[in-house]
Amino acid sequence: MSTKEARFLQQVEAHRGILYKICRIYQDNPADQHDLLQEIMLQLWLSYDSFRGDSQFSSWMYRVAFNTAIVFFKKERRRQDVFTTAPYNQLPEELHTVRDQDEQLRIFYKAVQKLNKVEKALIFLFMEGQSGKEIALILGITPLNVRVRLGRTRDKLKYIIKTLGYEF
Amino acid sequence: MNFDNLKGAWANDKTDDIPLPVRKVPPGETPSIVSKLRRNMKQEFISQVIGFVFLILVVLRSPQNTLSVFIVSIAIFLLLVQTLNYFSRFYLFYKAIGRYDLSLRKNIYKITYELELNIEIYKTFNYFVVPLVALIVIGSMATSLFVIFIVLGVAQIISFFLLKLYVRTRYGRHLAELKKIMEDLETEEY
Repeated sequence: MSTKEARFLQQVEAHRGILYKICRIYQDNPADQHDLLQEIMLQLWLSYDSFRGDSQFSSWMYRVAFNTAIVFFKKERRRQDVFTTAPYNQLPEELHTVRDQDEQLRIFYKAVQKLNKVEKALIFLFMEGQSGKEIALILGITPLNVRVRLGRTRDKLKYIIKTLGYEF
Repeated sequence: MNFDNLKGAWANDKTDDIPLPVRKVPPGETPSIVSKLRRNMKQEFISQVIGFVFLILVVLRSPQNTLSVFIVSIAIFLLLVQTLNYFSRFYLFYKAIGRYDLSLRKNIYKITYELELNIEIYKTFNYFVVPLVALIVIGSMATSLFVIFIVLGVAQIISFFLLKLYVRTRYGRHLAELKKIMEDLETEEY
């Protein structure tokens, strides 16, 4: 293994959580998550020369990983699965309270599958604690646009979680 | 449940025990629109080379007369020039597609633009080449210009519909999805 490859693998290993979470957000079954992970790893490696170290490795990794996830179409369901906040998604009469963190996260990942690809990227970066400016740079849209879209996406996610039968 | 709870759960989410193979660089190509495009392009190139060999064999085995030698020579020359032109563009596209370190918006625009452009070039090339191949095959046996014109017309019509269907089947869904993502990314200032 070359020094470059060893350095690359070491940096990826240090940020493996990012990869794992992006794969879970963009694909809902383990086989597709695994395929996406392989694709992201490959693209990270092929693009590694473009990482000059003047930005954080994680920021560079976000870009490559999102760009890969967004053009990864394998086995993905068609767009009719994407949720719209139309009135036909009725709220259940009773909403359950969830306190367990693992269960909250499971519900979150289930709800996130109903978002479109851009909304998934927004909510991921929000969950990672990225600022509006950083999100704008990664997605290539304006900070104002990020604020407006993120607000809408959060509302949409809340609504989806409620339609799944959980309080939010 | 609220976003603060979720952020807490997110931050505490342990990934150390997940059996995902991030410990080694994967060796080959994996499925994605870009990889698929590259695979398709390789296949196109190989089938084009095989097609040329087949075409030359057909021409060499066909009966020759003055008209057919004249027509076939011109057609082969045009075919060669157009193919070289197309594949040089093809090669540049093959090398350029899929720069993943750009912002999401730039990347999607670039891939969509390149894909659409390449599809149009592919269609134009084939609208020209399919009748030309028909001309070479039939022209080497034909004795009348009328037959040649009929063959050309039929080949043009068939290639038009088949190419439309082929491109739609092969890239239609991906192109539609990329355009939808572009729409989703369109700037809206409030």
